[in-house]
Amino acid sequence: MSGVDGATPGAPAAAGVNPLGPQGAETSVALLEARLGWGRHAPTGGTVRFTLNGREIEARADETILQAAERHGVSIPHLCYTEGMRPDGNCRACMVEIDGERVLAASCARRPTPGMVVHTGSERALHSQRMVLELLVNDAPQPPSLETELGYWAAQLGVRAGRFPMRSQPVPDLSHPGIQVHLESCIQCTRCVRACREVQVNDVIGYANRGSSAKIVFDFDDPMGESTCVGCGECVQACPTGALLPSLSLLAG
Amino acid sequence: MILRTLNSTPARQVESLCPYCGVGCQTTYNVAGNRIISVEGRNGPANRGRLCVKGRFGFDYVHSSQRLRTPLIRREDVAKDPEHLVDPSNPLSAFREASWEEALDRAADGLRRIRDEYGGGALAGFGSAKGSNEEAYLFQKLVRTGFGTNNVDHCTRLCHASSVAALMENLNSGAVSNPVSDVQYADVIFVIGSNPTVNHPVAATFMKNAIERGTRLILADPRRTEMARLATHVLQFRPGADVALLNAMMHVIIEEDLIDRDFIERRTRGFDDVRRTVKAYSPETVEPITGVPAAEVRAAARLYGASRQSMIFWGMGVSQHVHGTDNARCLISLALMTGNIGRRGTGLHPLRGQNNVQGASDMGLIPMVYPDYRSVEDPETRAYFEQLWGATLDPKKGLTVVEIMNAAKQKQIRGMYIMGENPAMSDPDLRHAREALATLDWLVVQDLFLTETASFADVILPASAFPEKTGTFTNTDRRVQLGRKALEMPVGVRQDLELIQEIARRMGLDWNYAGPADVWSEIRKAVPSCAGITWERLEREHAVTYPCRNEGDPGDEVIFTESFPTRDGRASFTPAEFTQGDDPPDDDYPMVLITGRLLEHWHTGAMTRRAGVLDAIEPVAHVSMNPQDMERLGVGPGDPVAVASRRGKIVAQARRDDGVPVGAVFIPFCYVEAPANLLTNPALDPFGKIPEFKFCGVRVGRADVPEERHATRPELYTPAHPG
Repeated sequence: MSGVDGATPGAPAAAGVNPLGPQGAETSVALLEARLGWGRHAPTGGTVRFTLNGREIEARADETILQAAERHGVSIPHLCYTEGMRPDGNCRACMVEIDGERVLAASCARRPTPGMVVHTGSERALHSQRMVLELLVNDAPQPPSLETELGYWAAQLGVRAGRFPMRSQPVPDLSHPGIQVHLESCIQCTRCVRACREVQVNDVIGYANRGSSAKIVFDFDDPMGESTCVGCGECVQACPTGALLPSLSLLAG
Repeated sequence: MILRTLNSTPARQVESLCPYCGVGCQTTYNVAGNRIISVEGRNGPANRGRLCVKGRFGFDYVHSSQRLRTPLIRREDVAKDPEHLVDPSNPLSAFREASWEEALDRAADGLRRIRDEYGGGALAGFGSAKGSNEEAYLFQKLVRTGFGTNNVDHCTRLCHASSVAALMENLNSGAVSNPVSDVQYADVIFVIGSNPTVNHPVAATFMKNAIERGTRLILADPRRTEMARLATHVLQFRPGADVALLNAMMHVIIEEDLIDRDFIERRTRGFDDVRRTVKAYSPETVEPITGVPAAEVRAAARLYGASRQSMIFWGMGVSQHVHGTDNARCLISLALMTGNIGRRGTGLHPLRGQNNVQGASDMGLIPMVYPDYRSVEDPETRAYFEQLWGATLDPKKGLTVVEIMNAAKQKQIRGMYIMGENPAMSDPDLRHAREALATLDWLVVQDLFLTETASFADVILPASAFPEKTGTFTNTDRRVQLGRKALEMPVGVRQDLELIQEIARRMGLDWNYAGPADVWSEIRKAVPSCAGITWERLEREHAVTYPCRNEGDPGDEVIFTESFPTRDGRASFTPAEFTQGDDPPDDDYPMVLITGRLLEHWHTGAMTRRAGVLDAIEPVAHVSMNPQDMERLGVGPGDPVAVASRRGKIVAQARRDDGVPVGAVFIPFCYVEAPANLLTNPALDPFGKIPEFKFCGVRVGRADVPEERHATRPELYTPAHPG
């Protein structure tokens, strides 16, 4: 767990909670391997039956609640998790209610257990999902583009900005010829951090500061164009909000 | 994932490939109107959704204002001048526009006249490792059946010809044994003469993933490159000392009994020859040559030898030497004596450069072999192809790239057809190569731009770019993948496949291929290892690995599992002795020149220097130098530096690079304003006929200070002899 945004009330302190059940003891690298299907660390076969929104469904042993739900046609909002990436559980947009549990769970980072009863659209779950999205949308440039994942989910849940004051917005960093950095759109989901460090292993993007000052940085908070960035664009492909975008020059004649 | 596309919504998405390196990343092109607006990685077997800066941002070259849109014929009042390149923005300064009909007639007439007057041997063709398999196949067929010669080659000659020579000699197969993705099973990765984060960036990411999980990396290179930060052992050996280093590693492996006796006994022959040879190469003995501490060599050798799963990757740093074949022989011996081949996570992987250099070679774009590497001198094979193609074929091996240039200079070759290659930038000793091109009686160039090579053309045929065509491309892992057309060509431009056929028809061949699928079905007859790959399957699965001999075969990712394709099924050891480079430093030229590529620029820069983002990141020709040398020479970062070899001189900006060894300079060869290949040495490896791009003596000094006032010269680089 990293980067819990201080402004995200839906995020319970997760210390001591093992987000992945019995597999949680594995390292992030092992999880990466598991997702890449790299044999050695993938959970073994078998299935788990559990109840999702009143319907009994079957999950594969290596699936999270979110993955199993999606495969059975139930969509749950999610931003910091994307298929093919290690679940981080930090945005809290995918909160679901589990019978018998005191707090909501991040469905991207939780595996179902036999007999578990999960509600993705209960009042409590929806309230939490909406609140997370509202707080995120509120800080984003308005209105968030429907072509971003943030805009898509906000529209899906009918969430609009305006109730809260907006944070002070950083200025765009246009120092790199290929990639624009718009941290005003950043929700600190850390998909770019994982893309840069775990997928491409370029180790340029990092996560600096704490609480509401937390932000994405390149090397030692250098302008992107002066950092050791190699321009692979894995972060652009990973970003769900348009905080990292291909340069406009690519569209010019 | 959801598309973020700024203001324009893509009308459609096209599943295709990246046009740059041999890794073979699958891409999705997001297209609006007739423009690519963004590129994303697809979940292909070689890239798993990943891309590098070139694949992601290097697509706008197709829209460059310098794109040729009309056939061009040389103006009679403008002579070919090797000292003068035509401005690619102003083609009409040397050419006039022509209709397609006139241009094609003139192009073919010129070639036909030479063939009829001097014989097919006076003609030659350079195909392209950037073209599709279908284009490569038709191009070599045109040269062999229409020109009547085997003088057909391409840039594989400048790239892995020596590796292939050694692999053919010892394993009778030039293919990689294991895919890059096998690094996930390897305990040790040995990377030598390769800078994968720059030249095969996406392959490098899989290596890095493996290293983070515990796989060990041994990195051997004269330059300390990016991967060094993840390496267990960095063997920064002196340029050209490859054989000494590798023999020393084998010496240790034999001395410490880390060999696989069972494998040597059952599957190889000739081990004793290598054992005898490497006896003289103890790490201590060769330390003065390699410059690597003996203890470090011993440790690396133990790591490689003791591991059950060791995988070797190499690049041009190994192959581009006059002893390139010897270098590769040593790597083969290393793998064979430790039994590290024929299983998952082991093997020999010469990292292929161009996106289709594997395929172009498979298709027979090589002067000594027909498709599938079958000798042109073998009567049985010749009879097969004479029947398949309905033509009489030349029984003699053809000339290779550099040999063709020499023959052109001597008027033995008089006419050439060059498709998508740029020898006026990529050949060694460019002054000579450009003179040779200018000497030709007739040169037809087919390309996107008025390249440096096209400056010497008589007819230029504007051709199709990668995203404008459909065809198959074979990556470094032997995966045949389908590239799909994403854009309509600019008006006035024609498909390469059509142009080859237009020339063929005018050379008297009755060709009528309906399209790439039609050509592919003939390829399946000519290349037995691809016979099982149907077009429909490629459309469905996007990628199929060969060997795939029968329809329905899954395709073998790992080869040599049971035996080698030699007569007795055994691989052989070929010993190699350390030899000097051809043009070693001396008092006049005291430093060593190493050439290579940059992450952002592809090859001669024809594409990437016209790609906005890529050229903005690396816009300036530069010379990378060690700070110690810079201090001694009184050169600061950004100062203009003159680099001269026995063949030429260029001026470029100095760049500090702590990874470049003292006594050497590194120059990328993509900058036309300071072409590194003006300096390089055309001396050839005797087996692979590959020139020595990676080693020659140079003199370096500030360009803005007269030579006599230069600061002290750096110490002379002097590798000693063993023993």
